[in-house]
Amino acid sequence: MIRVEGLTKEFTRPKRQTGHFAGLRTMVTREVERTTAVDDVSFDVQSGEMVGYIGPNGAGKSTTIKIMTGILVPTSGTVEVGGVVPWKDRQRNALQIGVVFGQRTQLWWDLPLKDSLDLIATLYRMPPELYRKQFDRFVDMLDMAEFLDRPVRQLSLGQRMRGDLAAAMLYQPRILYLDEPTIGLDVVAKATMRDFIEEVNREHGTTVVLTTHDIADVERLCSRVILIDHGRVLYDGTPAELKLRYAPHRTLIVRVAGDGEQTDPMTDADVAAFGAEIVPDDGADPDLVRLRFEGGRTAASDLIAALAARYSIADVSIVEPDLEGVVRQIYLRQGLPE
Amino acid sequence: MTAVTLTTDLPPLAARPWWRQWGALRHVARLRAAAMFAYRNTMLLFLGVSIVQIFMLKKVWGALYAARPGVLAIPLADLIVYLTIANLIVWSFPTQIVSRYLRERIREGSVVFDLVRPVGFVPQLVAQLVGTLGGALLIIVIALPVVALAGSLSLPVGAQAAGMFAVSLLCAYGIAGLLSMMLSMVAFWTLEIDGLTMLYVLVASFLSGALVPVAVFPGALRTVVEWLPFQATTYVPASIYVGSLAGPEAWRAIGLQLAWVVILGLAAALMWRRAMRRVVVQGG
Amino acid sequence: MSVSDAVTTTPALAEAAPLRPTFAENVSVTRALIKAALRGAAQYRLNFILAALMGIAYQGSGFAFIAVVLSRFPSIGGWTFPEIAVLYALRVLAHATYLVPLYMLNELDDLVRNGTFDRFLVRPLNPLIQVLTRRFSVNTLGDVLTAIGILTFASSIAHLSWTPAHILFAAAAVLGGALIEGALALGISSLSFRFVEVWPARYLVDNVLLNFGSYPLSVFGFVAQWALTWILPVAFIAWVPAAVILNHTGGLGVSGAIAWLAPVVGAVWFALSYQFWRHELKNYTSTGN
Repeated sequence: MIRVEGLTKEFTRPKRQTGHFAGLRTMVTREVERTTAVDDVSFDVQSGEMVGYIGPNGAGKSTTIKIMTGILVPTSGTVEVGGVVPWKDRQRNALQIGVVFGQRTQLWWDLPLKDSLDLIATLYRMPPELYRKQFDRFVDMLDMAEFLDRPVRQLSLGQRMRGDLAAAMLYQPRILYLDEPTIGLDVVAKATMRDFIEEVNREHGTTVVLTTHDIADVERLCSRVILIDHGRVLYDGTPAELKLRYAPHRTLIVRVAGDGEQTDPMTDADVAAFGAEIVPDDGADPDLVRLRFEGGRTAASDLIAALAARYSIADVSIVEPDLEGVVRQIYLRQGLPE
Repeated sequence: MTAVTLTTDLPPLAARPWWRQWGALRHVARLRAAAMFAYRNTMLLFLGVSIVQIFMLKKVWGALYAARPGVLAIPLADLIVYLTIANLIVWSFPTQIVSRYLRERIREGSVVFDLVRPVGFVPQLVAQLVGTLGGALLIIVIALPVVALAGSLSLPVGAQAAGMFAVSLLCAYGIAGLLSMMLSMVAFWTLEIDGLTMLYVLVASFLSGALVPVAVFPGALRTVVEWLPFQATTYVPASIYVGSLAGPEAWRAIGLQLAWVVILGLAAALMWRRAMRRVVVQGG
Repeated sequence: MSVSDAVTTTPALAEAAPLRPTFAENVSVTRALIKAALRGAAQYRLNFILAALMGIAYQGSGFAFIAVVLSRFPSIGGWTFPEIAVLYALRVLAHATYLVPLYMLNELDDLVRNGTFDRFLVRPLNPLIQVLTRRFSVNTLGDVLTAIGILTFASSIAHLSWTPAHILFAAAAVLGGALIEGALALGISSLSFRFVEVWPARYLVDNVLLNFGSYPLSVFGFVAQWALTWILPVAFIAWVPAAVILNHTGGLGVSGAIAWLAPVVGAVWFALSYQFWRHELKNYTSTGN
């Protein structure tokens, strides 16, 4: 459905001059500053896939989306969306995509929400019966009945985003791009949006490309994650694989039964035998021990059993590696761990 | 129009009488001149517009004189100088800037401090105007050749005229400044201040004699123009410069300017008080 | 790219990509957008009075000047007050005719700067039409009122006879003038894709048109007259057509018959301007992250 190959986008800006007549010289100078926002990015997206496109601020996510939607023209490389080159055939491409920009609404500010949806239907040449059907369905799914008649400028952020989502999917586009759709939304609104996206993907096989800073969105919705930083693809695969490869450790928190006496404390040597290692902590709670083990090699049940046999365990809990933690580490390290 | 944010880095002046705040006021004036530098693009643009207007006036008046010479006592050459000077004066009025400044104070809420020290606010404003004018003067000096080409420039008719011109000009700036202040204060009552400001600039410059000397206005309109303060902002100083207002007549005109300063000063103070009351009542 | 091409290059597609919108479709969509813009503007009735006043003041200020000086002097460049009134009326009418549909060009730099323009590139309609129909500004009605007012006044004091031929000619002249002003506005606005501060250029051009367009250009000297006829076609906006209407073609510097070309000149300029717009659109880099 979407084919991206060797995509590169460089921005050239006149180099800012300093000193006398700085403003004038900046205007006529031929020196340029080149920033590479996207650097040789390649990936394919199959029809019906839900891809999370994540990266730190300034990584080049929005630039890639803008190229894929036809807003920007790349410096080099090819993009084909549904067989169409987006920036060459903008209007034709527009008919097959829906776009939601998290921070900018596409609705008509002064008119009631319903009018905006009517206009979208006209704009995308929807047959009246199809529009009616979609309209009723979306109003129900997104619970918009109570504010359909209110001007968009009077809507809350959550209401507006629901309107934007309905507007984007109204004409059943084959591809849905979402650029930070859940930003600023409360928990309930986020859940509504996620449910909606999942539903349209399930029912229509809509291909979804999602950029977001909320990793929970990705975890919940996406079967595939592409991680980009400094314009380059660092990772392209499933979230599970990402976790397994870069955060293979699970943590077992053990509460040792203390009866006031100094029992046999756990040592590294002891637990190493069971395939785990102690995570040093501040020692605030002497009865609490954090053990780290590799989920692939050691089964949690085996470890618990082994420990219980040796020590008096009062309580256990397991902390899974979270995608957010993994991603945070990658952002901080500005690259993948070795 | 891009929004240029005015930042008065200086904290509000302490409640001392203004003649003791000299150092701080000088600082404010310098700050404002620096801010003028940031505004220079806008000012240059408006200067360009003024130059175009001056050129147009030169040609049109030339055609008018050719059609019937002798309607006006003043010879064409002097009239062109008058128009050039008058339009430069109009251009240098910081109407837009005063308006923006006051709107900023209102929006920031710092106007509330001014409630307590009304005397402190006005000297600050004056210092700002002085700084603004300094910047304008600099630009004029640089752009002088172009201005002279578009219109016509010559030195004042004599030393006495030059002196009277300086005095008259100061009064003119005072009047224009007060009028701008009063216009900006309307911002307390309505949001449509930008439109009103533009309207004001157009009407004021027309009635001030920058396009047409007061003597040309017909009948009833001429009486109206003579009684409005606008002609005191442009017509009077420019006429003194070219000598069409001289001797006792000129002194009378300057006296009238001073009278306007007093009248407008009182009106502005009154308006200020009403505005502050409105702010308090509204819990602004 | 034909449908069959799409099928062969990406065999995984169940159906081909949609076809480009047709002209008829675009027209009906544009009509719907215009209606929406008018509906949106209807809510801001209160601003209308001030907006109307401003339009009248700005466009009419030149007329006040002319009225005052011509109460004491007989003519400007050989044109009497009724004649100049007709000239002025044509110019203001052309200006209003350009302004009502194309007003939104003045806001293009804002749309580009806050990223709203991005949206227009992902919708199946010419982005220029989307900019123009984004909203309707009641400010423009002030200019329309001024134009109608001055035309009525000028027509009566100049004792113009409105034969069908005259009406047709005047309409052609106004259309031409509107196209020329529109072409200038479109060209300058297109620079918004490359430069942030475009409004100074726009303001300057507006002022030149206001200051020079309302007078017989012979007043400004040979160089200016030539430049404002052949380089920046200000002459065609009002002076040349008015000269023909009033039978005052002496001193035009061009044959009176050329006035009939005003709409042609306008159309050519507008087409060139549109090409410039399309060229500049390629430089669009979009703002934000």
